[in-house]
Amino acid sequence: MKTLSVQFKVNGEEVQAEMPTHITLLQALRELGYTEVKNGCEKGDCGSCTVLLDGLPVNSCLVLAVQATGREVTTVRGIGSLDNLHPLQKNFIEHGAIQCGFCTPGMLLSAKALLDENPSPTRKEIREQISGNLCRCTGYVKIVDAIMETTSEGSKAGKRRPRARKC
Amino acid sequence: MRGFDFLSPKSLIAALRAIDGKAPTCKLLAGGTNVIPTLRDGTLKPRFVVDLGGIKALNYIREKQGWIQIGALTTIRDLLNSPLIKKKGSLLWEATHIFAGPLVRNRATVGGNLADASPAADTAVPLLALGARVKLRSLKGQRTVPLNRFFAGYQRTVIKPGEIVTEVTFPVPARGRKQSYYKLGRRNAMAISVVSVAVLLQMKGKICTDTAIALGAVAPTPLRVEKAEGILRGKKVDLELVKHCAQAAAKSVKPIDDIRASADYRRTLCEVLVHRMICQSLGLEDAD
Ligand SMILES: Cc1cc2nc3c(=O)[nH]c(=O)nc-3n(C[C@H](O)[C@H](O)[C@H](O)COP(=O)(O)OP(=O)(O)OC[C@H]3O[C@@H](n4cnc5c(N)ncnc54)[C@H](O)[C@@H]3O)c2cc1C
Ligand code: FES
Ligand code: FES
Repeated sequence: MKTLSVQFKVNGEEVQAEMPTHITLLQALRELGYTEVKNGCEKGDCGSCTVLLDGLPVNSCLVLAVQATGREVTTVRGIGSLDNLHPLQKNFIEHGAIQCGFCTPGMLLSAKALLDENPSPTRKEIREQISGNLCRCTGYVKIVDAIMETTSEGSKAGKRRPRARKC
Repeated sequence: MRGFDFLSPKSLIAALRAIDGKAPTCKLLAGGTNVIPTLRDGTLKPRFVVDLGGIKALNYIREKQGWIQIGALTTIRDLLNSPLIKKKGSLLWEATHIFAGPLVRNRATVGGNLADASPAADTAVPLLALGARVKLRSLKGQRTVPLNRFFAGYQRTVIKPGEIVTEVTFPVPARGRKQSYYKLGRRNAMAISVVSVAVLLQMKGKICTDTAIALGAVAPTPLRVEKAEGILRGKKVDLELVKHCAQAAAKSVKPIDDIRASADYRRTLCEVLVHRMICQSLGLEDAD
């Protein structure tokens, strides 16, 4: 097995390891303990493996671990923690945008990347941005609601409670 | 997946040297969106993988002497965010909107899309209509191939061992050219085309002075339908003529049955879509 010494940052922490050249960034991250990065399809279809690579959301199953050398990877653990939730995380919880939670880490990262670029996207732009992140549970409405709430417009609207929806 | 040596040259010349003489055992990697899944599932077992991603000099979009030049390593995201492409290559720009989803667009490159030579390749169809050319470099020199002679068959191209695609370039369309791209997929996002159509029209009053029509996912390669174009060129365009043109387009294609659609459905779609897009571009009343 061919290996290479690989070094990159994950959520600000330096990672250095000898890795087989053929493993994907997704496999490497999970083996290194970053199991918040989910493995759904390993071919770019589902988005559950989404990470930020130098700030841009990508499918970590479509990147080789060796290609991450010298770069910064952000997983969902890098954007907030249990006692210090990111506003997106807070709003996902409040809006019931999480059911099984498998898509959530990827969904949050795609949403964060959008808000970093454009703090006041429309619903359409949000749907477009998360079109590579599949959710089998929620039907997307609550996810879009939660992201909308986090936009500069949404936060201006202040304490507006999420609309109650019948199932 | 068997192990491979991983090389990441930082310049084109270093990359050309790295692949020299290694052809059958060596795989180029650009955005990796096609290559990496095949490396993982073992369909592909190269001894060397050469990552072009570090060659920053191959990532550019610029206008030079009447041509738009796009470096092979330019990503679909870069095209989508380019005011130049939006303004002067709107056909291509429209195609980048419906290309996969944002996650794939952040990695996928235009060079990889063309070199992969899928019949449904979403940049290939508009680029064919725009009269694009592909620049190839090897240690021996450079050559330029018109895109309509670049595809050699289903997922095959004229790229020779030792060659790398460096650029795709197209003439800035004349002012007033009407450009439109339409992709029909099974759903709105993350869909591979069932049929895609690119139409370019240059009109002088009611006379069509020039046109280009390209189709995707209806033959072993993306293709120009020259017979259909010939029906419009130089003529006064009315509904009858558009109908003939659309019928000719449907006759020139060789679609297949696959999981996305049947051949018959695709052929019918060609006729319907070509007809509709020309009518819409010209503001003709489409009775159907
Ligand atoms: C989930 C998903 C959705 C997709 N949706 C679409 C879609 O909607 N439309 C579409 O057209 N495609 C789609 N694709 C296919 C793919 O993303 C595109 O074809 C993409 O443009 C390939 O580019 P890449 O840079 O990732 O190529 P890679 O995978 O890196 O390479 C592709 C091929 O080209 C060769 N190659 C790459 N660069 C060069 C070069 N400069 N010179 C010579 N050879 C080269 C490689 O060796 C390889 O054979 C999708 C893929 C995935 C995974
Ligand atoms: S695991 Fe990467 S997209 Fe599904
Ligand atoms: S919450 Fe289950 S997949 Fe989205």
